[in-house]
Amino acid sequence: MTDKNEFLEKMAMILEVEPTEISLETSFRNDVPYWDSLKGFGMIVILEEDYGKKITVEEFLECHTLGDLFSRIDS
Amino acid sequence: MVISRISGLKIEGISAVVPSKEIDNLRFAKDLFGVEEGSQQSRSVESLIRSIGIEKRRICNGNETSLDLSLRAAKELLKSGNFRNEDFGGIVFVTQSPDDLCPNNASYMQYLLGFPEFTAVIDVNLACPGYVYGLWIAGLMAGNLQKKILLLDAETNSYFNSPYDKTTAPLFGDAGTATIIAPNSEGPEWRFTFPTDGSKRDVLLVPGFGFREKPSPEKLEYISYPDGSRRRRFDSFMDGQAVFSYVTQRVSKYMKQFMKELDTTPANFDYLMLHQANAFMIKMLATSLKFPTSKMPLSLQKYGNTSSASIPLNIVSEMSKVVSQKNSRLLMSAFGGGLVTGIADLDIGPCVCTEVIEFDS
Repeated sequence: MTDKNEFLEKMAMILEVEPTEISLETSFRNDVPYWDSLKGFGMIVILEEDYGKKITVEEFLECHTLGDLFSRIDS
Repeated sequence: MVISRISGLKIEGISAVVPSKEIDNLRFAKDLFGVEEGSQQSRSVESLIRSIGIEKRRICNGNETSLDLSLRAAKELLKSGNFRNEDFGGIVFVTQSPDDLCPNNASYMQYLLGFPEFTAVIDVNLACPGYVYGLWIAGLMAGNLQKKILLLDAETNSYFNSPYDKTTAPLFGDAGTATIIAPNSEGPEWRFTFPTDGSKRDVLLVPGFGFREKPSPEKLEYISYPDGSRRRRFDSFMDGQAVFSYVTQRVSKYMKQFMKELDTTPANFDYLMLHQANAFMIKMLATSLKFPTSKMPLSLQKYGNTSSASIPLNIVSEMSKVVSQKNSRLLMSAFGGGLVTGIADLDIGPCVCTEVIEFDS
């Protein structure tokens, strides 16, 4: 069982927001003040380094909410 | 891990020169992506520039060369430290943008500076990690010859960087630098390591300048790519995601292992001196190494990514006062085309350090 709060904290750091401002429902490309491709690269690296889940850029593009990403590491 | 150890060296001086032409990078990027003010796309470009951290860049006006920039840096340095030409035994010139393929930049520099007839001259082509290699080679030469070595490092990236490439165009700048490495029996041990992954050649390259592709008129034509970028055959290309994961994962592991093998932690170093590639990526690297960002000087907001020249430029831009007054221990790392990484544990200061000089053409 992956720790949801810890995951959101890591994502908040990448997205430059407070962990309380995001949830698994957050659409990370639209619902945060700053989004760009580098942050996407950062998320892909966190998934692989911290959760051992390697995903391709194409798979990443199919993810829209933080929950979409979380479900990939929580399976 | 293979570690090279060299004792008995000192950096005696360092200087840096940038072209006078300055680019407002946000304005540039908005034009590049063709966005309308206030649109979602416009905010995304603002976010990108904020993440890479490059607000301004300096690029050549079309005439200066790597030799010109570093000649100016060398002259200023030799003058401000009252160095004597006859004390030098070699010139190492780090660049991937030499004036010509032959003769190399270092040999003509011997003449331009009036260095002795017995000056060993070598150019080093090693993309972004070039300065770490340059320090190593210059250090080995200085120790062996028991003479000072002039280490020059200059890049004119703007000449082979398409202004229409959506990945590379907002990143690169031009600069020239000079560093003096001298034998000094009291110098602490310097340590270096150089991991390489040549299988990744295609993720970051400047193709078509050598002879795999013969010179032809077609090389001058702009070609359109699916992401909307346009490049000539010889313009630099970068797979941003591949380079990003290499730096934040592989380079991070190499640096952790290097510190471990040397029985050091971030607390042993005064500064983390990283290649000024892009702010988001190198902050992520620093975080993974558990270095506080206060130990990581940044100058890319002013000058962009100047490839191999970025570390000496960063030292002169951000640490001039510190370097002039006291000794600092640096954990240095640069990474790029190859893919190649250079990592060093070395000291600098007190020594001659100029301010960043603007090149007047």
